[in-house]
Amino acid sequence: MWTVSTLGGSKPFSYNPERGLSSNENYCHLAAGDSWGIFAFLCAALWNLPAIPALNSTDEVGAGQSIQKTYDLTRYLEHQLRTLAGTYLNYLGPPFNEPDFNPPRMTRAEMVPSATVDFELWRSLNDNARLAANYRAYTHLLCYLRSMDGQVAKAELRKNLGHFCTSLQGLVVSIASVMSSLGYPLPSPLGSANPTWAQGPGATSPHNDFLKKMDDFWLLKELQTWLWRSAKDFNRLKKKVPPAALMLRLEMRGF
Amino acid sequence: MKWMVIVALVLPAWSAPCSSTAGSDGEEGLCHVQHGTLGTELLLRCDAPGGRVEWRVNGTKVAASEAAAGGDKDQLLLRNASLAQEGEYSCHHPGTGKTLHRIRLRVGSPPEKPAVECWAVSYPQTVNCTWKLASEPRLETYFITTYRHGMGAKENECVQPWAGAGSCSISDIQMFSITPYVLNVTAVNPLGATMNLFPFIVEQIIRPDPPEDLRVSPIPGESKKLLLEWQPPSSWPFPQYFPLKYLIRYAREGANSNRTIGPYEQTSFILTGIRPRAVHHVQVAAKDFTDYGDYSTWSPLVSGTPWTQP
Repeated sequence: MWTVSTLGGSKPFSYNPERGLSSNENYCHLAAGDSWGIFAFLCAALWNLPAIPALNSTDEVGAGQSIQKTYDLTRYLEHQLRTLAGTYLNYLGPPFNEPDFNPPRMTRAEMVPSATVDFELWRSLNDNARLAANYRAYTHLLCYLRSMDGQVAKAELRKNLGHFCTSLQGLVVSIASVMSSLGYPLPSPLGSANPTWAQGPGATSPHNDFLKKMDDFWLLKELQTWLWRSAKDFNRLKKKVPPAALMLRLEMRGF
Repeated sequence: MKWMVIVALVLPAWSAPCSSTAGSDGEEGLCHVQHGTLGTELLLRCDAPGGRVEWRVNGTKVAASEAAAGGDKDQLLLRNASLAQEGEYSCHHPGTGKTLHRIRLRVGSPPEKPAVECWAVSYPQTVNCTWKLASEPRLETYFITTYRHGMGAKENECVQPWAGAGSCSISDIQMFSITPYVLNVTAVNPLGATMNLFPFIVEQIIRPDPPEDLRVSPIPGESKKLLLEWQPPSSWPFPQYFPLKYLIRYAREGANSNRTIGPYEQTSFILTGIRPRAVHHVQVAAKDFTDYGDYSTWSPLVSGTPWTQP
């Protein structure tokens, strides 16, 4: 889907497949200096696409503010996680709470999409892909974290985990609101038809206590790396959707 | 000495890395370098046919009591090797004094463990690693530098710009990695090898270079303000994706203490409330905006005085 926002606050381009172009919106308002070639391409491309929701200037400002809030939330969560992880690893006991514990990662079943990414790929992600990756990751992480929650013996730790889950839920909602204000659909979770995923970690090895602890260890690491990544992702998005100014921008889904 | 040059030309195949100080009786026989570990027993062999030989060190005859006790007569045993025993040893035919064999003895130890440090100065492009030995090595030492990303992964080379640089760099970094990279620096000398493993997560070793081009300028009409401007370090490749934040440290000339303010994301700042007509010294440091890693070292000191009424 195309999102076109325009300079000068003029009415945005909107295309309704039933009505065709609306009468007083049948031009692309481009900034001075843009060539006719771009204009022609834009209009030609837009004709061939299905329905585009109109995006007016208040949505743009709203998106900018939600991005800032989401960014702030990732920083807050990262801070919370440092304390939570320390406490939880101590609860798991050695070797998990040893600082140089560096086990090999057995990729039996990748629990969550990994935050690890090559720089060129990261840089080239369009806004939709960037947001969708974050949304998917945190919905998975939240689900696993909730299952971890129920099994912890110590009440204090259970409470802290519960509080963290609530904040993480807030992050998921925040990302969803950014996506909808920018007009992107929410992605369906990966492997939702996969029963193993739905049962959470430990489903494949229910009786092995050590392996369950390893799963928890890796879950905390995944959370940490995703929060690092999200800070950079949302900082990047902040720069591209500043709340105050509007600029000509074209986003294509699926490209 | 001309005759040394001639001999060197005649026997190129056997010329060996021995010292140029030679015995006075001519340069015949093989010469090789032998390394021995401090404090251990060393055996120097002559490999001469027939029994006894005469040993000399740096031209002087070795006393018979120091020669091999037990073992073949054409070997020299040094107990408890020490630095004082380094030198050029030669074995000679007892009668003619002809040189049979020359050995350059160097005494030392296997290398120490190198101290390794890695920093992502140009995040996320490269990681630069440096290492040092605690003391200057006595024997020629070279370093092998490799790294792995995760256990069981392929070993790659950490590229040294030239041999003996004391540094190497890793490019092609994966951001936000859940498993650490592990750098292996192995020091190798003729007596052995010692390695040091340095695991790191790239986001945790971010440390930009100091900001550049710091300028301290007076502001016309403002006698208590100074304008500070600087640039991000040129080694930081993408300030637009990975902004930096800056700390400013300043002190009045002659004052005992300094003040540190910040962090700020802008690359300029107006310092207010400073003493008029006094010289002020300013430095700036940079850190990744999302707070990963460490602050850079302070930039070089730049001084300035606020505007004064002419």
